[in-house]
Amino acid sequence: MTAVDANTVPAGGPMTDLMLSVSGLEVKYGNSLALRGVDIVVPHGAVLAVLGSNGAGKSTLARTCSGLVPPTAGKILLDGRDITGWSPHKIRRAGLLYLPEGRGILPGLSVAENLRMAVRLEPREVRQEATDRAIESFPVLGQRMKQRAGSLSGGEQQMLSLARALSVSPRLLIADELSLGLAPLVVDMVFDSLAKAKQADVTIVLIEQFVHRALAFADRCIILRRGTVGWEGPASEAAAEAAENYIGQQAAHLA
Amino acid sequence: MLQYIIAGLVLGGIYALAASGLVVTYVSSGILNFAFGSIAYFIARFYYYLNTQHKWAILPAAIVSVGIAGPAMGVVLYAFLFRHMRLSSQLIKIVSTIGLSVALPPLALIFFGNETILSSPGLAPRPVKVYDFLGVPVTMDQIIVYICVVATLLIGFLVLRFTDAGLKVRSIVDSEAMTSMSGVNPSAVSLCVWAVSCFFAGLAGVLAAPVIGLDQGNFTLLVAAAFAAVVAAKLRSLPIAIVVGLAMGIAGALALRYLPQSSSFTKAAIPSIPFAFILVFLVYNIFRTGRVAEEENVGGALDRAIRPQLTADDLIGVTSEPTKALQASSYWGPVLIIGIIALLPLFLSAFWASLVGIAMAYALAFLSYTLVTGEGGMIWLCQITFAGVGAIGTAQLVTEHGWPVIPAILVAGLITAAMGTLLGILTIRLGDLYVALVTLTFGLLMEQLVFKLDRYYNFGQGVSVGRPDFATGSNAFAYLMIIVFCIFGLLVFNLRKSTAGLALSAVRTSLPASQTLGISVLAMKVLVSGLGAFVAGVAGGFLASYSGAATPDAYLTIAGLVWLAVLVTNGVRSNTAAAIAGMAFAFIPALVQSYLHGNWVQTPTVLFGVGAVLVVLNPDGVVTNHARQLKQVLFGRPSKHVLPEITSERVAPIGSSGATLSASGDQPATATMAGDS
Amino acid sequence: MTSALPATETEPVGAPSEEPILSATGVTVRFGGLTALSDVRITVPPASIVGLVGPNGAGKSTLFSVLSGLLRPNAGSVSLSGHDVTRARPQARARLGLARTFQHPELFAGLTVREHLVLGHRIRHSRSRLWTDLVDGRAWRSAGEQENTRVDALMDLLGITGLARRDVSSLPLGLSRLVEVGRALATGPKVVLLDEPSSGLDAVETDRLSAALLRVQDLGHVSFLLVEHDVAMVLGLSESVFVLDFGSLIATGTPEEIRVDPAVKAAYLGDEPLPEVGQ
Repeated sequence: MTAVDANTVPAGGPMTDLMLSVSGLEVKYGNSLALRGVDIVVPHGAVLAVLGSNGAGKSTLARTCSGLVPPTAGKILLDGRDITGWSPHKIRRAGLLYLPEGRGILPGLSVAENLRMAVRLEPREVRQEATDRAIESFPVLGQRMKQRAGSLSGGEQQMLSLARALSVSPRLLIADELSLGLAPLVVDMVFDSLAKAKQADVTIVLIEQFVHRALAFADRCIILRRGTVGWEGPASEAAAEAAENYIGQQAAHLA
Repeated sequence: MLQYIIAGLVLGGIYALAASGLVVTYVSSGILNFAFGSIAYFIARFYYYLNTQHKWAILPAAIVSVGIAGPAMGVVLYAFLFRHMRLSSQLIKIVSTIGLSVALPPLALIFFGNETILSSPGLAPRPVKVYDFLGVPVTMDQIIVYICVVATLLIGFLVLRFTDAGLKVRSIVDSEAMTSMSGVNPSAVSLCVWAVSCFFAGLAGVLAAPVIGLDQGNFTLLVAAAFAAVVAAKLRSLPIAIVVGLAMGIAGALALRYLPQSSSFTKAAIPSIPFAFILVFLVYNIFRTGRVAEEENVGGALDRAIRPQLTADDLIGVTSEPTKALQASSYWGPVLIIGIIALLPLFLSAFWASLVGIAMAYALAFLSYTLVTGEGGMIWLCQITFAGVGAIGTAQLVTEHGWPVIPAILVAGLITAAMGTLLGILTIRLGDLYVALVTLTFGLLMEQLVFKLDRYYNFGQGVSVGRPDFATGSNAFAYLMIIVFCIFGLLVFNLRKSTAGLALSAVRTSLPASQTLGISVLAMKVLVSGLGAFVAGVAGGFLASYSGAATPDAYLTIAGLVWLAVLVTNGVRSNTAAAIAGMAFAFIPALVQSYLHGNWVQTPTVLFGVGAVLVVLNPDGVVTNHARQLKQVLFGRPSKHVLPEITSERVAPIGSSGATLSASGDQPATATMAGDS
Repeated sequence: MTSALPATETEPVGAPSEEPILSATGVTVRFGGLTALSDVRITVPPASIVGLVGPNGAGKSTLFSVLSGLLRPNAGSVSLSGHDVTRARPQARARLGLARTFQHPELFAGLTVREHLVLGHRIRHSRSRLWTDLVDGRAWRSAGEQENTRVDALMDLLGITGLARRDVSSLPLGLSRLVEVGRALATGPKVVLLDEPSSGLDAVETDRLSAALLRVQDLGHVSFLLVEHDVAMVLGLSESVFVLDFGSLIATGTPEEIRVDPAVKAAYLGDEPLPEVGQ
């Protein structure tokens, strides 16, 4: 399976069918190349799983798309707009929400304050509604509103992080290793929440180290290896490839 | 007693204001603003200019100076300077803000005039009303201080806790990355924080001027007290900073109340209070945690993770070229410069020729910074204090005990070497910022306690010391200094090439790696502190010998900041730069004084300060940079010794980025937490 | 033949495998309520390459810290060359023959590549030079025979001879790692801990690093312990592999055994752990 590249997208106004389009992305990490020649397309409402072993560049990809790390080459388009090199807050305002690995919360603030920060881009009238939505999805947060977010358990922190995604409706959600270090029941809840988001027509890029659940949820899949796209294709065909990838024996190998 | 407490709370309230202003910018942008006192002084001077010199009414003068000029300075400083220092190393941040603190007061003198100000009015309408409170007279000035401090702190607290703006500030303090991912522009928030901080500075300055006098030296002491409160707060906690600030004010008041009025112990005790506070808190924290270091603007895990991907500077020159092709030629540079300097006395008139002598004495003093900061990577703000001790020691030995000059200088140097070694050992568990603060406070303490002692101070004249018998003439002394400088320069050169020099570079650039190699960090720090202090002491002795007396006022800590600024501008890792810095420091002010008038004599200091600020752009310093360019012109671009598969890489420095895993302490962290035995 | 590498003092050439050079047993580490490591053991025989792998969050870094001396475990012990070093600091372990590299290169900016190795060599073999150099002018004379031979041989083995005079601050990551390995080897250690040596490297650089490690292995009496995410690289290099997951040791054996071990596969793919059927 060869990588899909931008040129094969049907002509005739279809760039706008893509929520996310990354072409030729190159990112340097210190003095090493973290990503090289990465091309990705994600259509509206689709779910893309990004797999690969640790250090392959998955998080770097996420951080670059969200603006935290500047690319040294390449382009990123969000729903047709060129967001390459934009600052993170501008990208957030354009509708890209990034849930970073290791719990994207503000640990020094209370749960309530975290939620306030999460909904602040909504128009004033709907902010309360958005906060209510978050608490509805995760009632335990409602019981801990005044508690310092840093003192929540790992699972509760992840819920708070996810609450950011569910309270507002981002256009594109990048979820980075949400299930890391969580008990299986909590992982279930994470994927339920993601399903809710998918139902709300949110485009999702799902970065995961643990393969099967991600593939069960996703439409398409890319596998990163040492900073390049090693494989790309439908999620249904990815399982075998991913299973071999962790020890480096790929069925098909791209230079 | 009540009267003293009321007075103590006035000063304490000002300390609390200043400490708050310092903490708030530190936690939000990672920069400890060494220029806080200078900004306070500048605004206070501006207020005096408007109110007293130009007869403005109090309210408009206060609004324009404290309300507008202060925040405006904060905005300008952030937008043009601090914003670009986000990723700089701690050393660059320290040096840059010190440069600012050096440049601002002379600018104030240039803009607002140079007259001596004997008394400076505060915000109370003149004549100042006095009220009676429980039998104690309280002036309107004091009441206004209370009102301002309470109002400012209260409003600050309410804003931080309950408003959206306050939430944004607390958010960027927590994690800048997460904040920007919530759609908030962290730069905009930081801009506001700096504006507020400089408002605090201006307010503190204007409130303090009637109490301590509108004098640069006193303002430095004020800020030293504020730093003590900040250290007690571990640079982070606003409530602790405020409480400790108030406590110091009260402690000072109680000292005045209970200690005998005219004893020399009293005179000593009061300036020592900040140092005592710092000492107690640092010892307590070292006891508890093993190491006290500022966290590099940590934020959250995400902030840490993206940091290696954003390149940063290193103050201690990271040259990016192959070295060997240039190293042979790097012998020519120093030889050439020394040669030129040596020829000068023959061509200049007596007055100018004699300056060469003191220039080389300064150069030697700067060489001590080259050792401690350039090789050791530590920012010690008390090198000038060691020079002062060296000067005083020399004078005592020569005048009181009849020693010949040169041996006296050397022995005085040994005394300072011992002091430096001790200080090096004591500060080994402190991070860069704390070391700078501790040495600054130590310098101020020595200045107040030791230098002011009658037998050294002698009403300002100091104790006399002559020149060595064989070098009494100005040319002879100049050549003596050139030779002495060359000897020490060679010693430093030797150090750099030796194994110890390699080990010093290692410790300076990567503490974790040095430890895993088995290098004794303690031994290296002791070596460089002792040597640096020795050189400083010897330089001080020669400076005194040149001027004919050891005048303690020539060795004030605040002047030492200028010394640091001058050297850093030229280059902190190069002996040649130290020589040129010495020449610059001696000649430029003299030139300016001869040819410019009035307040423009202040310009050299401003330039030196600005030069230090510009290390942000130019970490290697002017001299090293120009030397490199000159060598490229003369000797051609060195060929790259590369393996075929290497393509040209963007230069990124190595080391000093926090390792993800290793604690950079000397002791292994214990995994046991409370509850485990 | 005389070894081109700084040979360890007590190892007879070609000695049969006996006491492990480095071993840890029963290591448990807790951070607050979280158990990072639970009763983990690992053994590094002399003159061998051992791999430590496991998915993200398995506890590899924690175990690395325990071995290198940055972390004291709640339970268990670490033994180096027969000495109990559980509570020893990194400097003490260095003296006993432990060296390590860092995930983000911790090189000494301002020193050349050669100077890194020279410093490493001198700290172990001529420590007094730290002080004597200052007064006896040795800094200006060329270095001794032994030092030159060893350093040059090491650089040759690692393939970095051409970089000798180059300042390290402009090196690409792959070469930086090699310099770090060189610096570690120059101290004449018995075991070198490598912290994710291939992270951030492309395939070419990874191969170069692996080849260098094998060359060193062939000639020297040094053991390597690699903590890695690149399982393929580790399987290709190591003689024995330890696999962690969720803080426990789930598998250990030769690369061939690990390659087909279903528990390891399940750990990496995030499947539920299989029931304890014979493997």
